[in-house]
Amino acid sequence: MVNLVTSDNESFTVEKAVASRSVLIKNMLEDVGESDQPIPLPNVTASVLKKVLEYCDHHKNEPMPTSEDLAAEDTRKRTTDIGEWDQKFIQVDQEMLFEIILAANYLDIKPLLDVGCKTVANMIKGKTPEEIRKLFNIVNDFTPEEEAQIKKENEWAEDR
Amino acid sequence: MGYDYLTKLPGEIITQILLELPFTDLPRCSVVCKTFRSIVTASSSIQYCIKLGLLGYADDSRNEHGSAEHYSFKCGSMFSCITSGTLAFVQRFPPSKIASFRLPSTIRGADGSDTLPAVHMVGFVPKSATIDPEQDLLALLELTPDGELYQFSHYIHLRSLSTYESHPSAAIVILQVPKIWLLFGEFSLEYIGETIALFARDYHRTIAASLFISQWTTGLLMTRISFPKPNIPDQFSFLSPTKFLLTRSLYDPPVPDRRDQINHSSGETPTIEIYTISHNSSLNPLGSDLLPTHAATFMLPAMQSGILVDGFRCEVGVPRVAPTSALPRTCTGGHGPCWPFFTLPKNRTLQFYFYWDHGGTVFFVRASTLLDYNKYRPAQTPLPSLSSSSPNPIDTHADAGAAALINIGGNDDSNLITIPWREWGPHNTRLLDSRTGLYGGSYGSKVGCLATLHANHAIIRVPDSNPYSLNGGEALTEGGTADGGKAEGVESQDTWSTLDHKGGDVRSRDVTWTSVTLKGSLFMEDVYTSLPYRETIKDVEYDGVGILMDEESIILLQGGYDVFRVYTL
Repeated sequence: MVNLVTSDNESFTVEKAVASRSVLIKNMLEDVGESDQPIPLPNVTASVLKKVLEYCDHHKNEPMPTSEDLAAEDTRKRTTDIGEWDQKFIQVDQEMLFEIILAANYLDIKPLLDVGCKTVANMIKGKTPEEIRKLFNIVNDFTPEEEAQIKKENEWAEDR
Repeated sequence: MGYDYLTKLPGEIITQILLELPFTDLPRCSVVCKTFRSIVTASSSIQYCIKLGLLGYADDSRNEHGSAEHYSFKCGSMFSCITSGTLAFVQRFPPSKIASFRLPSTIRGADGSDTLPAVHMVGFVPKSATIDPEQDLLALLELTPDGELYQFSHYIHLRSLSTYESHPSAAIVILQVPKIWLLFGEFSLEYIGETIALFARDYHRTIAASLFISQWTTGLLMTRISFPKPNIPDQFSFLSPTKFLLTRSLYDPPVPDRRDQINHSSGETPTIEIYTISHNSSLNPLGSDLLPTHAATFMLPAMQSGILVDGFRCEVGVPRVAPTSALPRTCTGGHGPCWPFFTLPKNRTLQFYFYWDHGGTVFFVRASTLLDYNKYRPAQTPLPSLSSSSPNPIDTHADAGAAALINIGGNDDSNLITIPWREWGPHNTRLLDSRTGLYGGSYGSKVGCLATLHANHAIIRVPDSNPYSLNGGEALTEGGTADGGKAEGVESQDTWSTLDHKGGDVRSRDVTWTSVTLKGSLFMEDVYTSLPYRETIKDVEYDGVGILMDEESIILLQGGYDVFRVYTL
């Protein structure tokens, strides 16, 4: 078992196989060897880690992606192929979604990061710039002239 | 208003998110905010993704249409050209895009180089362009930037196709053009060696057409010729740096719409006129009043209504064929030849098209390489050539090929007639069957024909013809002295020396097309080679408009040139 301590000082005790879904933790465990020392995760809050561990627990028995898999995946990944369970899992509010993405990035859980990124991409896909801004609360920081100029440059894409 | 989490993510994560999107979404994302814009424009992976997507390598646009040897991509091109496996095109969507790349079927280099297509986005819409991937040259005709001085002028400039940089030794040629050309101008740009020509006229043919010939290395205008109504040429084509041909109908059709080809009146007489440019006028910076010397005119007899086409042994230039019982003995023709010339400047090919639309459709394409274009290439190409590693440089042999298509007696399949290749006379003419139409393309000895059988169905036949031998032959000539022609030593090898070698002045009325083709005077002397005969037939779904060909690939231009479909021969 592995003991993980979050930024808000909550501790989680999980199976090694679950914790090792995180390449960061896996490497730490390999470095320190067998130890009961708690592993501090200063960038992750308890609520997010709970969610992330839920993902890791569900996927604990799958083989870890090798570096070759990851390289091959770059060429053929598509936004649609999120597993059924993952889709349900990622149905969270925007704050949690982005927290999960950040945590997955920090903890180095590539499949979870992919699920997060694909989910965001699916939210962006096919939307107009204004719709994207509204959905993600993004402030339009272009001047009207700049925006017109960029739109003009991008006209080619509108016919497709 | 909620919190903006998305743009606060680390840049590499935003990049990863954007890379999950179809490439068509990326330009839209760059409009969202400055963070997105800087990521889209700065990320090489995103830019690469856009480039590949534009060229059709995105997963969703790949087309697995039966044949393993073909793929397609969208481009919306205005001008396109393929040479030795290098495809180049200028896309019309603003901002215009100029691209050239090695076709995948020929890029399997050991080092994997050349696989990355070159794409350049350009912020203008060129009026015309001409492309030579072999030389890595791109000539563009543009409107000059706004300003009093150049308000109604165009300029020609040359760039590298692979890097899109201005050609280091090319000058900009500025041409004043009539205002009407800004709206209705039709321009065709062509260069050969260091000479570049622009043939311009207005679409409605209300004012005189003009031909500008200049040197792109110096920007000097060599000559400017005006062609007043009514005899405005249809087409300009270089034969050599000092010779060019013009095609036109001697009598302009009453309805001045050249695209309405089928309904041309039959009274017109298509002609080919050959001109020689004198070197003396070549350095006149103000243009020259000297007209190029007229060297020869060929008139193709009009095939008027009622002309006898006896088993195609007609006197109007369709090659003779051994009588076949399957063929009707006679076929009375309606229209044609209609719009009979089509030159493919890149490989100096002249094609003829004929239609009969009375008592059946005959479509005949003859293509002939006019001369060895390589001869006129500059000795050194200043910019790196994309295709220097081409396994198949353009052969220097002169050759000819032809194909024909026939549908006698309406639209019933049972009436389709095919004459076997070998029976179609000695002139490498292939008769193809078809219902509705045919598009032809040619490369060297190959002629590709696309016969549309049904709305979306076509047969592509690519007879790799065996260039035949012509025994010199006699031009039908009559008295007089040839001007031009053999007098120039350098020209003695090309098409027109053959024309003149009898020392005769070719008078237009004395040369029928039959004599021209059969006697070998119009075309370059055909050289026998031992190329094996091969015919490639592919059934494809197709509703295309044209063919591009080179040694290995045949590209069908589809849907208003929006889609390229590439087949490997």
